[in-house]
Amino acid sequence: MEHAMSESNTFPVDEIRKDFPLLQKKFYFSQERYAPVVYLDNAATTQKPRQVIDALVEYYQEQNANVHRALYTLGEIATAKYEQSRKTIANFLGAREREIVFTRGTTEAINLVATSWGKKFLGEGKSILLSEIEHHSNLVPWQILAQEKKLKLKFLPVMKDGTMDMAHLGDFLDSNVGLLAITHVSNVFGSVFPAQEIIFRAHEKNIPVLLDGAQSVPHIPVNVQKLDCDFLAFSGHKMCGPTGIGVLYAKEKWLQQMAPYQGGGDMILSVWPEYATYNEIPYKFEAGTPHIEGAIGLARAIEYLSALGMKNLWEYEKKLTDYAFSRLKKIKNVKIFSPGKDQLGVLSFSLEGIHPHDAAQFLDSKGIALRAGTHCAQPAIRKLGVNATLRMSLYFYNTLEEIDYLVKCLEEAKEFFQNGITRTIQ
Amino acid sequence: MELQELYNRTVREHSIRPHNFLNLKKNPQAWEKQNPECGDTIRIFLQWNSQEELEIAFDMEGCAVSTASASMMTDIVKGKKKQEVEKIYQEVLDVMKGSKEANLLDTYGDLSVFKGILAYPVRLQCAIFPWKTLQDIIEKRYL
Repeated sequence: MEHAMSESNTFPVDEIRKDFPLLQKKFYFSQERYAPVVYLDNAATTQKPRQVIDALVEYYQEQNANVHRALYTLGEIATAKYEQSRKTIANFLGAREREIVFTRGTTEAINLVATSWGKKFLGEGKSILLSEIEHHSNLVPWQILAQEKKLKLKFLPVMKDGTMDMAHLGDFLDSNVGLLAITHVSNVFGSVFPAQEIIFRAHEKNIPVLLDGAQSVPHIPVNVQKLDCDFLAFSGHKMCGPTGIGVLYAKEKWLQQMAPYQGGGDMILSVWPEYATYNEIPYKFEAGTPHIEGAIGLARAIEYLSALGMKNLWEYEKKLTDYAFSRLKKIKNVKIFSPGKDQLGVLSFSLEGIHPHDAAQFLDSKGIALRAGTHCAQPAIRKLGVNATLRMSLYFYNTLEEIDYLVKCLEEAKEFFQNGITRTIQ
Repeated sequence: MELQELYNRTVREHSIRPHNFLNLKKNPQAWEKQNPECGDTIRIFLQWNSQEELEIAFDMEGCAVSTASASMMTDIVKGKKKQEVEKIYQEVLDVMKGSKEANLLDTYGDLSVFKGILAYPVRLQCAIFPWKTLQDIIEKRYL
């Protein structure tokens, strides 16, 4: 059953948590902690509601067959479910079904664009414009393409708190730029780039824009028509869906002109020993048997989120984020790298004198799952002048009490490490 | 994992007051390596003296586990001849990667405290990092 917002307009988080079997399970973390996990690593992956888990089980128990080939009843059922999933996702984004390509995730979606679009539309001397704080998945594919096609990579400057330096955007949008590929929401800072304005200004100079939506699509309403992005990539597993499924949205005009990404079954119309003709979009980009139950599971996750209301989720997450920011700020020796306003629930910080790994290990013994490291964004971390950060990332099933508990444990961590385990140089 | 097991007295001692620790930030002869998973950076300076024995120092920006592991490592290999150093890091890495028995660590003094983290493949990388760096320096870059 889907939860409606209660009349008192409070977010029914306790009810919602009951949908997540993993959040009910007790784990042995240490001698003093046998309890459910306080899961604060949602930017890495989210937990799954039983509605999604049930959809996967149902697929295997009642619907399993290959899609687009089998004429028998089961094949029709599986194909209908798979294509219905595409429709659900298209509606969610304000796109058309033929503009939705299923991929393994954000990474594959971006690699697909780099290969199928980039090789065709980016010629020698052109440049690709990125931001300074991209996730490796929106950086390395372009590095590979740039080497192969002799392109330049340019980087939009970002402020110290991960917000876009809009004053200098215009300096970088020139006729040599063949593509602007940027993140919508930073996976290190939680900062939100003003995508609509950036895309509008890029389009004024005829620059197509790819938006990395891995951290935005799960958290805020994203409409591709309103944004007018040329490409949008995101992953299912960061929004309550299964791993191994993601989406590339691309404007039809581009998909029609792009070369296939991989060759194989399903992406063809007719095959002869020497050549083949290709299927229509989006199937042209989905070679081989797809991740059918992944697509179905992702659609189910989107239905689940939509029933709760993306706007409601966003508002609740904002409340959590503001609270977390204000509580962290009051802890002595905590340094926060995130902006604190106009951001989503990703907060990077450090405890002075305690290495993020050691802090995260301590928190683990208290049953808190929180990330320490470079978060697959080494250039962004280097910009901070540190080796690693602690990162808490929230989702709609987190609670204010969990944040209180984290703060309490951070205080204890300081005590445990006697306010610093940093060595003294002999 | 139990905290007291991981951050026991030996690990704490080595991480707070690491042995053979020198500021090598500006030393052009020090080899530097970053752990791509976590961003930790280690710098190792090493040379063979006139008796062909190893002289070694390190510095690093790292967690307690990787710092302690590096401190213990330098204690263990310093003063040893090349053949012996190679045998030691090979054996330690074999244990840490699971192809040799954990009890072998008992023959390396303080290093035996790391037997407890062998079961934790992610955190184990912190302990492996200095040893892998030493191996890389000697086998891939160092004469």
